[in-house]
Amino acid sequence: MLNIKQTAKEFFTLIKLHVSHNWKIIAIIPFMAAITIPDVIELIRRQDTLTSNSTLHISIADDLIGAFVFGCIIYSVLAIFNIYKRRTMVHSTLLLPTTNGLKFASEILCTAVIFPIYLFSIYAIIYQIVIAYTGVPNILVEKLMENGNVFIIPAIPYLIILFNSFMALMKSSLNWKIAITGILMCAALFTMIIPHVESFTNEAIVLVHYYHKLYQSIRVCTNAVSINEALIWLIRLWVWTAPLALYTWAYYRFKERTI
Amino acid sequence: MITLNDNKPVFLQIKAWIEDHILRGEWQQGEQLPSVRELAATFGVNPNTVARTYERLTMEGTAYSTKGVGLFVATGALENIQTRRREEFFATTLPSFIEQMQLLGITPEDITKLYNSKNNENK
Amino acid sequence: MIKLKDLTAGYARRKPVLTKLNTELRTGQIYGLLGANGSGKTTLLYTISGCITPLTGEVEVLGATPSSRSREMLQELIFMPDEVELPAISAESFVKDYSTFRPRFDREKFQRILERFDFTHNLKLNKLSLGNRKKFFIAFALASNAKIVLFDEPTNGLDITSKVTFRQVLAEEINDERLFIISTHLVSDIEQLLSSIIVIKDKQIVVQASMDTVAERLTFGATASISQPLFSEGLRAVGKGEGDYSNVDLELLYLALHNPTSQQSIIDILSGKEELC
Repeated sequence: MLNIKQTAKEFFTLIKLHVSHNWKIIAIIPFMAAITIPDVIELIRRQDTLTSNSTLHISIADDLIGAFVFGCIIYSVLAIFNIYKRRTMVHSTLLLPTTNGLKFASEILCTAVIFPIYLFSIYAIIYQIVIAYTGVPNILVEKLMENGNVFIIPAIPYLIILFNSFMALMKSSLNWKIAITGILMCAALFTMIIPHVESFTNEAIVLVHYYHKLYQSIRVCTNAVSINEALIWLIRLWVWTAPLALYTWAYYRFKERTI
Repeated sequence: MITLNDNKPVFLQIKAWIEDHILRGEWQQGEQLPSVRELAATFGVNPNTVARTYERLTMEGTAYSTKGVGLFVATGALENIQTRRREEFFATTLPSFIEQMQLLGITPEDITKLYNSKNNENK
Repeated sequence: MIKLKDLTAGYARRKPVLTKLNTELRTGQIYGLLGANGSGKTTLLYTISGCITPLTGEVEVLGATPSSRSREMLQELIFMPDEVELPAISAESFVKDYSTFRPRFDREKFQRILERFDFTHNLKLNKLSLGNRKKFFIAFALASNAKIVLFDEPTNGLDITSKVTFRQVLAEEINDERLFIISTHLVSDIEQLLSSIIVIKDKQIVVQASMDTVAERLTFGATASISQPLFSEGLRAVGKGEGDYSNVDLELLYLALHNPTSQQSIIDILSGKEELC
């Protein structure tokens, strides 16, 4: 049995190693946070001007939950690719003498926490650029905000994944089956996105709010949720958690191939 | 740096190295030889090789081991080595030397002359 | 300490790199792992360290299955790949962080070995040259006091002085409780350290023998001095052992094993199937 002190020490060292490995990405965060914060404040301020549909009412807690959900999903897909790097990096956590659980937990924590911040910040930068160059920021932002499209972010990571998959296939640097899976998944999700950008992002926000609602209804034991609704949301839930499930399956099925 | 050539078995080369140290008086009787590990590290060889050397030295009476302490130069080791080498010289080196002399037409007188001049040099 | 049972390993199910390997590797030995490019040496090391899982068969390392990557097993194993990549942190940070995972890490030994290598760099580790990165990691690996140390081409990229230092430093680390496997093409760099050799060819272990066995059963020397050479290359040849102990010329042995004429005789002699003269 590991003692708590040693476990904690190993866990924090793992986090530190992940951070030092990804320091370039991390270093940008404070800079991005500085850009993002005014926007967050702006968002909070504008909450009252959104359409009256109560399910689209944004609160900061939901933003964070949503960001975390996105982070996990994005991590799942990216992890499938990362996990197949053939080069043995000494600082890769694979052969570090610690439990597999700690390794996995540290990875998911780092990536799932870092990525949403990172991606949210990318959005903020794009927003700033849009303001700077279109000269019609308010109208555009108002339009986006009207339909709750602040989470246009989902498109970006899938674009990145798509691009990475093609690059990886070209370099033949990873298992082609996984690459094809990634590409198909991205293509499928992307085709969902393009025609339905607005409703897609609505979905994301609504999903987050659904969790909120579900949580509340469980808590107060009300009939706030009907069976029909529950079924619909279960399907939507599956769509969003499928990448995570895929990753988990891949992790156990393919972990022997990790180098 | 000590390099090993690849004609004689390495453990015999190391044995010769130790014997040379004894012959030159650098290691006296009763003195402790380096540990197996130390010598292995000096030469960069597997300790088994040094162990084999030490075994042979013990067998030949040049050294003796005290359990738990190490290997020591035996009494009369110097003479022992000289005797052995002399025997080897007469048994192996000299016959082939004589054969070479005969092949090349070198006479014992030539050898004596060279021996004497070298002796004078050393003085 | 390491057992392979019908091990078939590789990266794709239909194209195994090693097939049905059966052997045992014991503590107190330094194994030299030899084989042609792509013969599976690195694959074997990956399988033993747990980087990859066997396609079929079993591997047992210290009683555990390496691919489950248990903490206890990994603490007793350290693997140095042929291309050492180090993170962009200082040597001090690296030691502090990575020794957290290695309870028996000996900092003094680490410093000592680095000094022997004349290593005094203050750069971030990823900025060091290949040779220096290797020296750093060799010191780290030996100072970890792990029971099983796997080296993949450790001397490739080291300057000549460092190669000598490597031999000296490694010779000091050999003891009955440790097992070293050194996979290399640069046999002359480590010949004298080895206690056993493993040669991989045609997806199999064709030879696994102690250096003593090889020295006793075969004779290596100048072609002129070998009465019935089994194989010769230039001025050197190998023949059946003549009852005395001869220095092993590993390069020559390797060449003889990869020559279709002499291959089988050498294998038979080393496995004891043939009578010595």
